[in-house]
Amino acid sequence: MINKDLKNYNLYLYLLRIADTSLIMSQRLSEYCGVAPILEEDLSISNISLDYLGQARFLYTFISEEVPNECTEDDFAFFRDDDEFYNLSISELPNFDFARTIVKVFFLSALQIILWNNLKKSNNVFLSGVAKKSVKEAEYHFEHSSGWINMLGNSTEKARLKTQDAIDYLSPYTNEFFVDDENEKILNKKSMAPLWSNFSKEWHNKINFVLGDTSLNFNLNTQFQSKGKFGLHSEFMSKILSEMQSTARKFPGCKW
Amino acid sequence: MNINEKNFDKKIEEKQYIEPKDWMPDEYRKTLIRQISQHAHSEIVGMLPEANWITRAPSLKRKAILLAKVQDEGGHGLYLYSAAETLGITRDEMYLKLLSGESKYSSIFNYPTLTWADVGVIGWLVDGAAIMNQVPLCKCSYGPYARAMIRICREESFHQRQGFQLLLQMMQGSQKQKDMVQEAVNRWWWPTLMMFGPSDKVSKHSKKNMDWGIKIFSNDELRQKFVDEAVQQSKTLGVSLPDKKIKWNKKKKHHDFGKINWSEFNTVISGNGQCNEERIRAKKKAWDDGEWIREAVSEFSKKQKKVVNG
Amino acid sequence: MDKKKELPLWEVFIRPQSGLDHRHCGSLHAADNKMAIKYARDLFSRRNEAESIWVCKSENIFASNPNKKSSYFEVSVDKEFRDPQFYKIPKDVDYM
Repeated sequence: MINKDLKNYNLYLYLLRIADTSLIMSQRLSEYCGVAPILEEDLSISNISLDYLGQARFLYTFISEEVPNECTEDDFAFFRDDDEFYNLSISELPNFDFARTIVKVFFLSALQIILWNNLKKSNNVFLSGVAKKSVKEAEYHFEHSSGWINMLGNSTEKARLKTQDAIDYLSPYTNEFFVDDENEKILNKKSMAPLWSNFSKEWHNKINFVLGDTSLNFNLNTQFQSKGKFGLHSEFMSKILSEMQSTARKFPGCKW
Repeated sequence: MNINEKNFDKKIEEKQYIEPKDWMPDEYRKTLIRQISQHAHSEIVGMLPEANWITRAPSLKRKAILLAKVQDEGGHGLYLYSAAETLGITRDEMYLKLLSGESKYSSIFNYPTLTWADVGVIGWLVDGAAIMNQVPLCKCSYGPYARAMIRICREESFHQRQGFQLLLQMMQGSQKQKDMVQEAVNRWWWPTLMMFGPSDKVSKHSKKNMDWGIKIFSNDELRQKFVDEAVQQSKTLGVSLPDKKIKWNKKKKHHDFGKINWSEFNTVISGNGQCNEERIRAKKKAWDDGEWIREAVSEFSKKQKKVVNG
Repeated sequence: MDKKKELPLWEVFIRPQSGLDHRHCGSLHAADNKMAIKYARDLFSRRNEAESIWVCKSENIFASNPNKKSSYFEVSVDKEFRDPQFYKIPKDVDYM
């Protein structure tokens, strides 16, 4: 859908990474709707899912209005194949249980606060506008998930073990957060976007500040690097897309 | 009759509100607990058939709308549980009665949502019927219930409108979309009429509830009003309703309609509908999966108390 | 069922916009005050209905006794001088 020959291809690719991560996060969290373990939490998770969906929609709409071929936000969401999605792999992992779901939000929102705060300074007016709105949402998501991490890490042994398991399972996927590629370097040179490798220290400080009040630990002993942001996904991605895109693809060209 | 009963009856007669700490007959309290908790259960079980389509919504706009709508239903359940708790029952007690089958929920949610069009039809017909039942409850004699209903009714009209508009859009679309809408209407029409409950001649709860200001209109009155409105709306949509007996009656100034299959209603309400097992299983799984979390929260809460109390 | 495991019940009060009072709007279950405020926001302010939220544990609410309504609340006949309508002011006195 976005062609390498387009003038602002680098920017669109960069935005798609953010938009696709938000969309897939929204999709995963929406699976909890109606079946969350506490009814009040059902509403909170749905809110976070809606926030993510909103961010994705903003960005897809922006790109679709810029590119010469006619396309809409729905074309981005429903008519691209797996290798055209650039979400961080962590977003596509199954919810599995509440601990893993909330740790995922915790890790990602910590990244997004830093990301959006940096993007506020972008000389691209649209991007800085989206960033100003989105950083407030990310702060809320981080506060909410930190509250849970603190609670789960300071209560029963069972909760502590489940949360530690979740941290251990998800932490290898955070390596991908701090990998720069040619695309990001080009944009950074033009002062259009920050390098994510610069976020590493700040992100680890944020995470460890919250974990420090508990007996939970962030131990990353692997060089594993997921490659979702390059369009190389886990086996979960095609299943998510099959489900998400099924109705739209069954009725191509229809309006809803 | 003692002074408490006299005062209570006077309040009901004068259409004053009964509030949580007021004296009330046991039967009134029990009836309200049953009705409010079943209403709450209906909201939260009702989240499931629609949540079924969130992950497969055909556009991002519809996905957002549906997610917001289902979230609202959860919120309505919470308002109602909170109203019921003022009567001396706890949320957990009510919830466990739902899971055991002792407490019922609206029969309509035991039907499956088989296509995307079902989402629109539920908004149009099922939420339409729910609104009809709910608006009179805003004047119910029990204060917390009435106030919860006012809040719910304010939000509910978005639910019906989004469903109707979704269908309108599809009925202006492809033949496949139109067929999908018609097929969904054919499946949901009769179960929606059953939502109003059996005829009042048969229903054992009706009379007392009406005396107490818990129920204001009869089941039949509400059902008739609903049919009249829905017939009108179906013409705007361009769908037919699966009842050949629907006909305007000049004398009564209402639409006549066909006989409801009450044995289907009884089958579904007694646990043998298409989705009864799955609905309860989904809720039971959520409850069981949440056990370790509730324990953790409770433990954390105790530790906080120790810290505060020194 | 273990009653001790149930999350505490909180009463929620919201102020829809600045200048108005906080009003009671319902209750919810939460582990602590932070969680209660967050849940109150999600439950009672999905449509920006709250500019400010207060939460208070239900067990800490003290209420007047409904049986003593008349002695607590009835305006005594001999204290009508508290009501502005009690006073007749000449018509040509503005703004009083």
